[in-house]
Amino acid sequence: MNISLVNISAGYNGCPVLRNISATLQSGEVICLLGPNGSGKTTLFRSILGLLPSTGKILFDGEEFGTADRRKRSRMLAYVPQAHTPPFPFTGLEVVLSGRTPHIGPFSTPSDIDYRIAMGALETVGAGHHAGRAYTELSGGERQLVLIARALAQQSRFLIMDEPTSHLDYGNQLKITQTVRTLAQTGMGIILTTHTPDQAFLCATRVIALCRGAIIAQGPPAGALTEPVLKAMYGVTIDVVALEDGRRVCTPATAQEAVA
Amino acid sequence: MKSGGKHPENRDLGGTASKTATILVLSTGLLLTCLVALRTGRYSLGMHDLLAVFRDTLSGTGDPLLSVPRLVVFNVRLPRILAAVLVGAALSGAGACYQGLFRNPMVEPSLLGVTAGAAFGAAIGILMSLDIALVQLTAFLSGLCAMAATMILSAAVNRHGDRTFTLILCGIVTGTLFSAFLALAKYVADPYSKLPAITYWLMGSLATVTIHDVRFAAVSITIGLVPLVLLRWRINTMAFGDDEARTLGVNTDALRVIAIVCSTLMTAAAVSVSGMIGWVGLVIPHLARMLVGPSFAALLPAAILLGALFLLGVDTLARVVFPLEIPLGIMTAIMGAPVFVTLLARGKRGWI
Repeated sequence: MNISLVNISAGYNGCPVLRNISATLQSGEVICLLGPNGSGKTTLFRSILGLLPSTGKILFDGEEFGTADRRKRSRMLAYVPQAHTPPFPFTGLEVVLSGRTPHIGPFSTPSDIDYRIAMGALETVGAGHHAGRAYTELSGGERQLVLIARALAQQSRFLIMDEPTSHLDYGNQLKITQTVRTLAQTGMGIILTTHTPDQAFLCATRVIALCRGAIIAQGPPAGALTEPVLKAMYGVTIDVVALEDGRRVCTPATAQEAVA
Repeated sequence: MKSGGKHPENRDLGGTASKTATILVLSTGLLLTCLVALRTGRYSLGMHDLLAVFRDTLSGTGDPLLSVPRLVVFNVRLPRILAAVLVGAALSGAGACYQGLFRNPMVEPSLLGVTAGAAFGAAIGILMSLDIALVQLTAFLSGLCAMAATMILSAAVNRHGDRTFTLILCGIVTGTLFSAFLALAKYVADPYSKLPAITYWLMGSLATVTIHDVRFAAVSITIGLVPLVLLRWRINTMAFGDDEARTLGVNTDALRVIAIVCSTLMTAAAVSVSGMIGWVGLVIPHLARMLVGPSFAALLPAAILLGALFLLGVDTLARVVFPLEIPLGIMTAIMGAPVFVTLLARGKRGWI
């Protein structure tokens, strides 16, 4: 299964933000979308999710979904937003249960099976004990887990995650990247954004580097995330260091240069 | 909730059983309050008298000895009780729907200018010396017009921005405009006959309700309520915001229009029968949320029952406790305030 983007262009109020984006996401892959603020990451996500009109083709296994096929699309693709605060104290389970909406008829309410799937999804991400707690009282990391569980309850083949590690402490960031890898191993295709290039080395099978609305590099992290690409994206010199065991890490070249 | 333990098969992790129990208790409470309200008043009726009246009516005997109790029950108390139940249910249900839809616990059914529109319509009806039934109709229609104006205005103004926000701002515009029209109507009204009539209507009362009004309200409120009840799970997703609801496969634009039209229909019908009754649409949904949580599937029935119970209770007190009957709009505000503050202070989950 795959999602392919063919020459996607999109923008707001006639002002183009994305130009001719082409890429493919396969099942079992983790694509890390990197790019500076304003490079068009969110615009690309909104286009794929069908929240923003775009030109070009977005094919789900070769099939194109119009705006009327919202439900079909939602069974194919789930969205994990940044951890947010809803105005009402839904329980963790109620939040996850809302992920069952595409599978519930317009005039129905969740059945026993939906409750079981929602609970199972919470347990898959190790958040079963948050089921009865108020979502508003959970910490940022716990909320992110509940939102991932909701996307799992949606039982779609692909996940779009908008900065899943922002606002999280270092431990929780690593926990989330680990969860992402585990999910990909079960056959899900995942595309996520992050502002930390190191995370691409940790969990991505492929990287897409976005700069001013265009793709400047694409490929496996080791090949695509080179020093020139990082410099082009972030405007500062960053060294990519290979550790003895083959892992790669990013570090600013020198403190002075990073500031300058 | 704890009974679920480690068994995901156990559905009661969602607290379904306790919610159902709460709704059953509320329904029973409402029925009992109806019975009490039927018996109490200037003309006191015992349980025995009530049974006699009902038996007599059902058998069609028409016992002349029961003519006074029969008149009290069927022409005075029953219409008023039914009206209180309908108006309370409509305002509270519409309030719960609006709060979820606009993702804001401070919202009430008057948000989009319905009440201001209805008040202006009633004032015009009174100025034109229309029959009371026609005053209701002008209030009802004018309320719907105000809502339509808000929707059209927001569709015209909105480009790609936040739809909810535009809608609220346009609601404020329409509300203010109709309030100004109302003030103008009051300004030109005859201060000895029409002005007091308008003012009294605005205070809200069920004292003059007839069975005809009840029929009108029942039909309009049911038409508004049925789609809300059917779509209650979809409406729930709107509380997560438009984008998320859309990625969950919900057609948010259509759903929002349906939910707003239905809630407005209920509100306009309620206001046109009872006049302005504040607080119910704001406070009762909060109470309901404290009882059954924010999930709209359980919240809507709980809010409807609680609203009916509250307004019937207040209306019964209004006609029994004081020698001079206090207008209902005043009573709900005076009684609602302490109830709300107490619950806020005791609420454990912050903004419930």
